[in-house]
Amino acid sequence: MTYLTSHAARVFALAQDHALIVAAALLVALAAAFPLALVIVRRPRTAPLLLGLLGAIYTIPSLALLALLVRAFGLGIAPIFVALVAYAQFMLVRNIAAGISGIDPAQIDAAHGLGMAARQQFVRVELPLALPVIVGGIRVAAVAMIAIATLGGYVGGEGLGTLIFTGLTLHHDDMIVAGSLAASLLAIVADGALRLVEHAVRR
Amino acid sequence: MSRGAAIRFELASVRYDDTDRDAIADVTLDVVPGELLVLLGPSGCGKSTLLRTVNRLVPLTRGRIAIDDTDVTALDPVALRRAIGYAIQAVGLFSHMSVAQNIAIVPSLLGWPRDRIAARVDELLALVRLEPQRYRHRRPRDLSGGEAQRVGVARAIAAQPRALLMDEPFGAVDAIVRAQLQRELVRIVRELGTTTLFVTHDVEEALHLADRIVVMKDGRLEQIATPLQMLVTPANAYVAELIGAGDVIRRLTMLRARDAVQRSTVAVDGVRIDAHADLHTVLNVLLGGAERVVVVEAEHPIGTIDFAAVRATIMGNR
Repeated sequence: MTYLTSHAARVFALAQDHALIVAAALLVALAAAFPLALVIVRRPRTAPLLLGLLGAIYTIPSLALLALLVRAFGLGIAPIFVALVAYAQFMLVRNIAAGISGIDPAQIDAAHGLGMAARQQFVRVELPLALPVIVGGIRVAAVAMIAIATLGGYVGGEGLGTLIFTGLTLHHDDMIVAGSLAASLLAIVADGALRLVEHAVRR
Repeated sequence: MSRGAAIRFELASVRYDDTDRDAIADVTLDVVPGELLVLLGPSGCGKSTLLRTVNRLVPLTRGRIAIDDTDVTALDPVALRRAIGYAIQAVGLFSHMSVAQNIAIVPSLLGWPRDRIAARVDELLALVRLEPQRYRHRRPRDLSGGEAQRVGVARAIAAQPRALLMDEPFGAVDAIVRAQLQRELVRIVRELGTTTLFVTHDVEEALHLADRIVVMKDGRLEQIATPLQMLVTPANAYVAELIGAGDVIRRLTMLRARDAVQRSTVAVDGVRIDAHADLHTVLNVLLGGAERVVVVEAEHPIGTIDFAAVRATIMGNR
């Protein structure tokens, strides 16, 4: 614990970087996941193929995926960022699609029959009704991404992984513990905060 | 006050993908402005499909539909749907919105100003007999089935549509509430003059509500007639069996004293009954021991009814 207390400012700064990388990757992942989920909802026949593909990516061991990405993007933030976006897709697409497909069909019929255009139907009815399930997906994805993001330290990315991998190289156990604890704490905070959001949107 | 639209079906047909039979076939039908037309038939007869072609939720495969002489395919489907009221059995109130927000949907889509919408919501709640102060801010999950359906009706007529489509709107509520809702629906659409297409598989409901009934089978129209005409002269065995035409008791509530009166200017004593009372009431009095009843219209006796007259009328012999 000595490293955590003696270098609190550095650990805090790395935790901030860590959170920032995850948050940015989450935003990009969401931007990609929404259109994919809508394809699945509008054309259910594509579901097995799309979810199968994303599921397959999800099952690739993260270290192996990272190794491939380093060959493509070089060292630095890029490979871990791409890995995070890719891993999140499965969880996000699945939950967004499930959230929208799970809406009471009568409410969709009413929205359509009362004269909502497709966009209005999405923004005014489908999105708000699916939001609790979508936020649930974001929560699960965020927690997983915080853990996976520590691998960034291995390939020259920023974040709490730096402490863990430097600690491993230097046989500095305190550093490893500090990095791991901070990452766990970050995951717990993210989980709790998103649970609150999930509860707030469940109206 | 909105006047009702005229809706004309000309050889309208729908064939769904992946089927080898028309869901509706060559339907030709004129819906008169302001009438309450009930589409009656068993499930799968095409009545809901026919209803949903009017606001283009289901596209026609052949034929055409015109509203006030304008082909519906010439109109933007979204604008068309906003101009036509729509209520369904499952109600489909938006669960994340309040009662007021639900009712306000179409007016807000049409861009009405805020204060006009608020005033309209209160007016509609009063019209469907829900106290605005108590119900305005409720969530759909806090409503009973009957209350939810009242809100569904209010939402359907919020933007003063000239036509109203209702797909078994009272199918999911209990008999007492259903009778109440039926009475109020008739009152509301009469008051507004809205042309209403009403889908049901419930014969009693059809006989009770309809100005005219359309009986459907396998996507085709079997008969179009007033409830009484249909009971007295069903077009074929199918219609006769579906609506229970053999059951003459049923006709008693369809017929008015006026329909059975034997006009006479000779003054007679007897129980007085209003010309608009139904024959069920007349028969009650006769069965109670009276030899005849005296029918009065605007306080003046216009004639009498005896057993033979009731019998002749319900058998269609008058």
